[in-house]
Amino acid sequence: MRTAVTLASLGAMALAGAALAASPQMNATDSIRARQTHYKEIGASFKTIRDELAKPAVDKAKVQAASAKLAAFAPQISGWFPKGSGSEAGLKTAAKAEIWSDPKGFGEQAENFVARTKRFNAIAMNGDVAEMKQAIPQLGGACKSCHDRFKVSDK
Amino acid sequence: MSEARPATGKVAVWDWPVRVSHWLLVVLFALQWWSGKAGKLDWHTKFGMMFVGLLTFRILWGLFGSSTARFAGFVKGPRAVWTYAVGLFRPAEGAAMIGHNPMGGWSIVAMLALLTLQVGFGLFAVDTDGLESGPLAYKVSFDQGRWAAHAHALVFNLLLALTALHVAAAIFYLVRRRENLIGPMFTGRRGAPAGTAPLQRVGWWRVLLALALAYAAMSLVWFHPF
Repeated sequence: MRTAVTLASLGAMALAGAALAASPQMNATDSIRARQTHYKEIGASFKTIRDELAKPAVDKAKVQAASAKLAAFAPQISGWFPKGSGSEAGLKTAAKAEIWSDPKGFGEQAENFVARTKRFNAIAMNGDVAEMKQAIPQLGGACKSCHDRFKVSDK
Repeated sequence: MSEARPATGKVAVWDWPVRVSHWLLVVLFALQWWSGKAGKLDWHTKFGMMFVGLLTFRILWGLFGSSTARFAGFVKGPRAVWTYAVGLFRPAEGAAMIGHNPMGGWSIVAMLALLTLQVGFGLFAVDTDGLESGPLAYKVSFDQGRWAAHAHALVFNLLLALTALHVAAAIFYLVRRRENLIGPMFTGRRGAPAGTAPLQRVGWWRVLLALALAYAAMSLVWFHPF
């Protein structure tokens, strides 16, 4: 009887331990992969906007679609970095530890990106190409200011 | 082995297009290194355009320039390279030939090839923020441009390694073989046994032709009418 109870307790503890160990780890790597995919989509959208605006004849619909995509992604960013999804998760990530040690600073950058993409989206919807071109440096600057502090540089 | 060598004198080995190209490459490479790392990508693009012109010029000069500039003169097969390499560690017998030796010749080819690749990748590279990209990056997708950027970074490391090897080789020649190869790349003249034939120069109209074609290459890239 005692042996059975001991074995059952040990088994339960082992299962519980495995479950505890497994879930945060899986969330972290999924988070990393998901955000890397999304960031590439953000980059591709920004590139689409820039390339289109550089053409002699601008396809406004293309710019607006890409801009809407940016504005949709921006508010999600602060949720892409759960605790434990830095380099400690074991997967290669450019996310710097500062994201979690300076959450206020990171939050400010995330909000800044939301504001800038919202603003650009409004400008894109207005349809004024010159205004869109003028707004590009500010938009790109929002990417850069966060990356400068919170992303590992590839230079 | 006898230390006595035949009477030596100075002989012309590098013409000025080769020398100017060499030192301009050094300066431009340093500028690209700095501007790339410092994120000054507007300058990086400008210097990159100059690289297009310079590489075009030097490669053309290697096709129809002076004798010591030509690839046909110093690109040799594996046997010649091996024979030369083995001979490097024997006592110096005095250079009977001038210009790039078989080993140096291949390092020149490697260097020019890597530099050309580097410029090529840079033209299509997309920066991580998408703010600063190469002038032809609009022709490729974001993923392709990022790939080009990573390839650009890899080739840079290869170039650094090759440059280090290049400098080490020059020092090796200076110290182990008492051959100063650096001076001649400035003055164009080197010590050689009496009777060694100097380089054969070519008409200056070829310089103009190479310059014109280099300028054309730069324009093609800059204005990309394709």
